Amino acid sequence: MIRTLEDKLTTALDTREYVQTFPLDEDTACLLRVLEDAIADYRRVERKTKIDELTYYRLRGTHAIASLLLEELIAESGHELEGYIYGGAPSTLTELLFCVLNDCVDQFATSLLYGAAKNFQPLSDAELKAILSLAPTAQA
Amino acid sequence: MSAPKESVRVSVEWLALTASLTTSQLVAAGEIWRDLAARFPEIASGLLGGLAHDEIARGLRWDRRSLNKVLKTYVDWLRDYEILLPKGLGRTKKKKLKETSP
Repeated sequence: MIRTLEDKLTTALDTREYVQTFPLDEDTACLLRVLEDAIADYRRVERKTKIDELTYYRLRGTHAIASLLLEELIAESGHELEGYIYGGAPSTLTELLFCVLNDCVDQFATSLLYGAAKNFQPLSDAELKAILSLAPTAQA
Repeated sequence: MSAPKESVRVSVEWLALTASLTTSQLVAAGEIWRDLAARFPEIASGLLGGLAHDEIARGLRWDRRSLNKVLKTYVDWLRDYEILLPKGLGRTKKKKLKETSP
């Protein structure tokens, strides 16, 4: 089942509204950041604008967080996803989060690839590590 | 569908490296790195390969002081942007090494 950009945006908007009713803890804050950045990125795609360097680095961090949240969800609640196929209408919270996080991870990966190729040359992990090896050490 | 393990591993490394940096600092770090890589490609290559500064100096046939002078420019540049090495990454103090040596 193919999910269109409109499907993904609608799901992200609805999920954000729902998640905003949750008690605010670290996981909720991370999920809200992921949803906010995904919504902004879907809208950017709709506007057909390019990604800028600042947005690239923010999305890269958010992509990492979304990947970790998805990994944790599968590890902790994978048994609840038996029988659910990505793209189908979710009927539980776990299925909804699985669907929306998959959307986000795919979206961020595509945007990072697109942004990297078009406007600037972002740092790779190895390059960032190399330049940070020269940086003064953070104090406690 | 699950996220590929490799991408998660890389993501975790990226998060750890950038934990104490803002996006503006990352942009600045990119500019500083590109300057270093353009002016001193051998040094950049040595740093990428994880070589110690002594090894890089030997490879360039420079004395350590000359290398330090070049690197200090970049250290100061990083400091101007308050870009700091996250604690616990990359460096082991010589003193600690001595303490743990048999």
